[in-house]
Amino acid sequence: MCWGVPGVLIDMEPEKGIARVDFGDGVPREVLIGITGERLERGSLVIVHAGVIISTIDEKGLVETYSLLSDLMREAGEQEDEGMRSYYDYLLRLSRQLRGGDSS
Amino acid sequence: MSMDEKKLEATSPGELAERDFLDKLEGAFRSNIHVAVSLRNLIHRLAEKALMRGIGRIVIMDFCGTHEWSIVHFGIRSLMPRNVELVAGPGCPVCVTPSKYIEYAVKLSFEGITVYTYGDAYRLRSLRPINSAYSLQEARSDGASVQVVTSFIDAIRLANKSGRESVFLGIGFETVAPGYAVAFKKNIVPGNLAFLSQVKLTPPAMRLSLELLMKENLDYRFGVIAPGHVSTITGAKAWSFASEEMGIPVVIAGFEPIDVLIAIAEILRQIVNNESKTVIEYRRAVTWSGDEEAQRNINEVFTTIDDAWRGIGIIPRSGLELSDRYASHNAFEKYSLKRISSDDWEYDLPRGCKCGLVTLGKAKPTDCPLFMKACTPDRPIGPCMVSVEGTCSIWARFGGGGLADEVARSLEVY
Repeated sequence: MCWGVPGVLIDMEPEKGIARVDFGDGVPREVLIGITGERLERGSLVIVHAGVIISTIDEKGLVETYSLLSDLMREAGEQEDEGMRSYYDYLLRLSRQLRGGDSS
Repeated sequence: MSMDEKKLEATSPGELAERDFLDKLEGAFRSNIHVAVSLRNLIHRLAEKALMRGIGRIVIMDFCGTHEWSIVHFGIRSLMPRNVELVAGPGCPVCVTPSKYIEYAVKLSFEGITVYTYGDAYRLRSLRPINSAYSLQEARSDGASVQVVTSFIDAIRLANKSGRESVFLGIGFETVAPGYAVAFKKNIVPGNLAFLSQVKLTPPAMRLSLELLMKENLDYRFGVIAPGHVSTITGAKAWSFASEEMGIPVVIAGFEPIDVLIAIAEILRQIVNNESKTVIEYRRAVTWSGDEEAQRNINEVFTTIDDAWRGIGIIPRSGLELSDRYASHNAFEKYSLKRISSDDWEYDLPRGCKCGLVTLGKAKPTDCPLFMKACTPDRPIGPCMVSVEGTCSIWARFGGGGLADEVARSLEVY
């Protein structure tokens, strides 16, 4: 299973293996932390598959996921381009904001 | 690799204003058309060299729904030289969940036990009906207790809230397995929620598919585009058996069309030079050893078993079962359900359906008499059409026409 959805890590409870991730709609959702917790921090960009964090990505990674997903969504007729774009825009801004404006 | 890095440099957020860089994303593939053209030409040159060295046909197998989607969507098959074939291998866990285990879940749902399932497994049809229901969907419309969830954590939350006896149909590959493992390890799964493990491991399925293809085509050469996300967990080392023991080049690739083209070029380069190595192209996410904590968690919570694959048979050490320590959560133990063994395995696909052969890369969806005739995404018959990750579903929804043709035309292959 490889379909992964990007999101921004809002907070986590490592003792429970749980984190909350914003997928672009402003609603934090609970997910399971599938990878090493040390790689995660508030504001991390993560790829979530079936409710499990399976990797972290950097901003370049988000760019790739965007182009891939927007094509997929457009072809499946599920969402307008503009929606996809503002969604990614939001994730990027949120991630930078939570990491304290660091855009590196 | 260098071309890929150059491409990423050009779209680096550091260089461009936020909005501007998002604007530049539109038509990312088209803006990199010169890279795609160079790669296509390189692939053709390498394929010609292979021919000159007496290598006839080259079969390259992908193992991931997203790679297959990228190949179909961008028409990459139409860019291939005549002697290079791209084949989809086992990349869909829902597709290989045995009919018998769907029947178990349907049976439990009629016994008043709430069954939590992913959406595609909800529509998955079994060979035999239970109380005239062929799927969890039909069971639900007959009044059984079935609930669609998008994740295990949803099932945990709902089971906690209801306090009712319930079961989660735990389908997945190595990507979702560490999530299941961490939930058990951290002890957040309530006692009233049992787990019907259908977690499958991809390396044994890769080995089997390749062995079958090699046996039937002795004079062919093979290559593997290994799954990106699975490899972030397992590490590249999980696939080295193919390059080291079987002499097959393996490239772990990202999901962009350029990534896939780079992987194909690297595989052909190795074949021409008589090499077989496992190479990581997807360096931005994959390492040689993978996520060791995730692997440890999986090993602590699960044990490896010989597991049944729908339409294929028993594959040695290809599945995960909850270990004894978590036996009280194991639905097979709790409800005395029998695991399929090699003695009682039976062919379990609907009549005419070629999903097993499609999964192994031995048949294309278009080789199936049901494909897009009796079996469509709206009314799927076989599991490869039910799951969005199934090869038949990908070919049906995204195959041919549209962007694939447009891209192929702009690369002047028509």
